[in-house]
Amino acid sequence: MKEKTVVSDIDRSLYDFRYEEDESEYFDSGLSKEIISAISDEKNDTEWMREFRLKALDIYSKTKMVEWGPSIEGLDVDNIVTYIRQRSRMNTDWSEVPDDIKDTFERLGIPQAERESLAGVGAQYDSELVYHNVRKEVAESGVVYTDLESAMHDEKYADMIREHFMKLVPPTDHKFAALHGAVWSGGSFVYVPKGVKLEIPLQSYFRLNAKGAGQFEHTLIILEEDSYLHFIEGCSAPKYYEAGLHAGCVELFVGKNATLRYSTIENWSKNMYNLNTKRAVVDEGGKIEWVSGSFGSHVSYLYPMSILNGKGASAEFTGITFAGEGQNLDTGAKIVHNAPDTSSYINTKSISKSGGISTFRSAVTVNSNAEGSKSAVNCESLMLDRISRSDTVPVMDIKTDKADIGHEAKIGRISDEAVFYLMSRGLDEESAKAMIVRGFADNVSKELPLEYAVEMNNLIGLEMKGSIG
Amino acid sequence: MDNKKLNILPVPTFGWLKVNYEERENENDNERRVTKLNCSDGEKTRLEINESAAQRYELEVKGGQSVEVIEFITAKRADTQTAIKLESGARARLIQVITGTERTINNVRAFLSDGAELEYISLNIGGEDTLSDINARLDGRGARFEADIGYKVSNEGKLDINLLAEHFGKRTETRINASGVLSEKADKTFKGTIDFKNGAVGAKGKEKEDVLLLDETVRNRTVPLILCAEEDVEGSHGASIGRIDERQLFYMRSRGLDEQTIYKLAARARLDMVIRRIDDEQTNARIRQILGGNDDE
Amino acid sequence: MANLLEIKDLSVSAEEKEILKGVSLTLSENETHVLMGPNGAGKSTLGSTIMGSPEYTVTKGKILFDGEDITELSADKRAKKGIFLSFQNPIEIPGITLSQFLRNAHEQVTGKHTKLWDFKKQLKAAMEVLDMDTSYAERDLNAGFSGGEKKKAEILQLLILKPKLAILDETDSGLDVDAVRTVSKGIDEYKRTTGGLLLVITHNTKILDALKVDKTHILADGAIAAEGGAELVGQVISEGFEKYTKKD
Repeated sequence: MKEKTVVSDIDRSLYDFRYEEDESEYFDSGLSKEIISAISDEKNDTEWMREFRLKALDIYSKTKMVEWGPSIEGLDVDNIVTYIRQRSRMNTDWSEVPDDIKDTFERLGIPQAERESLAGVGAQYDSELVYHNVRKEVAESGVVYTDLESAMHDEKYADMIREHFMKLVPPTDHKFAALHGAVWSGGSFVYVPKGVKLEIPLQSYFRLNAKGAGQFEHTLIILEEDSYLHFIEGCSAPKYYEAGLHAGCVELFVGKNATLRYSTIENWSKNMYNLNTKRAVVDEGGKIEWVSGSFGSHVSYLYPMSILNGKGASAEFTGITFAGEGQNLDTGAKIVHNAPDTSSYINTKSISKSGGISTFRSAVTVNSNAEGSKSAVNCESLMLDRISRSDTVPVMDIKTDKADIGHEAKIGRISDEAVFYLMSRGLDEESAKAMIVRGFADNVSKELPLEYAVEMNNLIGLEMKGSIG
Repeated sequence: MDNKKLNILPVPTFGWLKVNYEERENENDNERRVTKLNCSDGEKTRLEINESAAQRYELEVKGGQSVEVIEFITAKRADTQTAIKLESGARARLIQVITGTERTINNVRAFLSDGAELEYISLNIGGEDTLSDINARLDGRGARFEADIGYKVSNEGKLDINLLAEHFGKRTETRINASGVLSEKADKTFKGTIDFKNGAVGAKGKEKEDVLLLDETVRNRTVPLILCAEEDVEGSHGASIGRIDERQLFYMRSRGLDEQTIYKLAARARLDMVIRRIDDEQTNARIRQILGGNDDE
Repeated sequence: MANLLEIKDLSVSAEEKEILKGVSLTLSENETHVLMGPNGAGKSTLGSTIMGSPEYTVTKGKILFDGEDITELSADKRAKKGIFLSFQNPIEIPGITLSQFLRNAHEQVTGKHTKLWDFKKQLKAAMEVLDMDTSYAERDLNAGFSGGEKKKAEILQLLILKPKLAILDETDSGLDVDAVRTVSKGIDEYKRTTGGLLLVITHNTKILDALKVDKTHILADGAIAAEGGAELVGQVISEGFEKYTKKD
């Protein structure tokens, strides 16, 4: 039985409405229709969005948590409203930001102003300016890059958004998709017209100051035929929120012969429950390329899904997960081959250290209409000590004979010879090990733009500090 | 009658894949007939399991001794448990041939002490609905478990194998090879788990599955897990599912074999690799008779 | 003598890269031809294309065998017409024994069922020529064979299948002196018993010592750069391929 949390000590002033008891089968979450309506009021939601949120709330209340994956015991699901209302306290005081996060900023060499912004302190930071400059440049090519909430009220995009919003990840998908549908706030909207190939990557990084961004943000990207986009979400500096829950949602629509690269280095502060849902649907000849690094959070559930719906569509997933002390990171990928001649390639690395738990979980489904499809999965895990844990849980579900499916997985540790070799060339043990781990992670770092690769390498260096027991 | 969860995956995953467990009607839990197998050192014991009753066979092998048990499971509704306890340095070979059954619930539990060795060979040919749950607990230092599993599923047959090797002891080793062929609405799931427990220093585990799919009506689920809570271990798994590799196909074609012949040969090869390991003339002759053809032997 | 293999203006590409650029060759029954050329000239591509490898696409020209256009035929149909390719890197096929495989191939190529006993006798005789341990017959095809054993197993298949045209792709590469001698003995046996047409692809000459070469073709940059008799082999040995390759 879950314990009821006493709510009296929490400032509920913003959403302090009368809470009505619904049918008994409902899970008591402290969330009510009134609270959701208040969010709608605040956001000036259109009528369909108001209904959408309420319907999602209903689904949330009725949906059970999945029966697999890491424990979310520490998450107060009985009083989920406490996580929602934290949004209003984005503007925390710099002095309240925990020391370890300040320390990490310091070591990553991030300027003070930026640190405060990343920490959600909301100080004046010229990222807005940078963001607007980017926006001007891309706008000339017909690309739309704006925040989702205001785009919804823009008649040019309203219909397009309504047509796509939570169609790929419906609130019925799982409990936290439903929660997202009810309380989502902030996020990006990108539209790339036919034939436009964007040279510069778009980075959501610049938009961290947007109100409410980060915790329940919704990203919607639509690529028309023959277009190209590289979208970068987040960065390697930790995003700090007092609230412990992140339930974002990413929906990507990749048109015919279009290519979308979606890169993320996630480094949530280590008190976060990261229950994020990312999904792409790819048309004929199109391609989705995921580059994904998971370093932060206390618990993560993250399996970007690629649905290959058109002939010849393809998906590539390159990922790394680094689970350190107190972390349980359950990550991987899902691929659905749903058309002929589709191909997928998954290449992941995971590292477990200081009692951290990493799980690689995947599902490759090849439907009977996917003749001529190919899939290759390759995952490697590295155990850095004997108090950590690393699990590999892949599933291949194949429903046609005309497919070629390969899978390889390996688990092991840093070879003593390799450490000895590097030490014989003058490196100390810690640097030698850090270097080997960086090498192990190079599947991801070589896919990232240079500045991100450098930051990721620094991050690995930080995580490896004090690894010599 | 109530349903019973069987073949439970040690670490559950996405529910929609339906690989976490199987559910079947609970038919005969009450009256299980227990047979203690008294095998002397070097002896081969043959069991004909052709009665539709719940059976339990218990085998204890004393230190340093070596025995072989061959189970031919042909009962219409088989419900078989085989419990094996291997003392230090004991060796056992368990061969299971499951064929022509309507429904089989097969359970193997093995406990391996220091230096014990278990060789498990199973051939699944022509069962309609077969569930096999095999668990080897490698408790003692240097214990070794080898599993060779062959299957041929066709004609709407269903096969679900759940194999778990638990490494507790230091320097324990597992090798799992599964290979088979599916056709005509076959539905096969192979779940193979290598579990390195904390303390299994120097343990090694290797797992491989090679599945040949012969037509577009089949369904194959391959679920190879590696669970690891120890640093100094080596684990790997590989799987290859689908058609014959292009290069192999061209090579065999260049010697005059047409595609049909190549697939026939390749399908048989997947089973032959397992049959060879059985290495018992009487059993092999029976298997050949069931599979038909192949006068090269 | 009748023309057995005619290659007419053949262009071949792999992964959209052109490898052969308009190659023409005419080879007659009973002859021995040598195809030489620097690395990357397209020698193996030509051999594989004659055999019908799906890796290569014929973009222009055709291949005639016994007067019949075989350009579109699959490899097994070509094998049945009497073409054999000894692979540079023979493929490993676990689960199928050499004997089992070869017996099936023999039946398909000849269209005749041979009694197991007769076949084994024939196999044993051929293995003796090649100094092969008879246990190899019951081992999985090429699986775990050393480089030398693989090449011997290829020649063994040549002796059993008795094709009209045998293409030997670098059969001598990576072999020590003794192994080259054994393989040569096998090729000699093939020549002597069948009188078949031989096309030897090589970039060295060890294997040619024992053969009476009728014609030599030099392939460079995907085209025939020179043709001549046996004397051309000696010339290439002393001068190398430099004069045939383009200087950039």
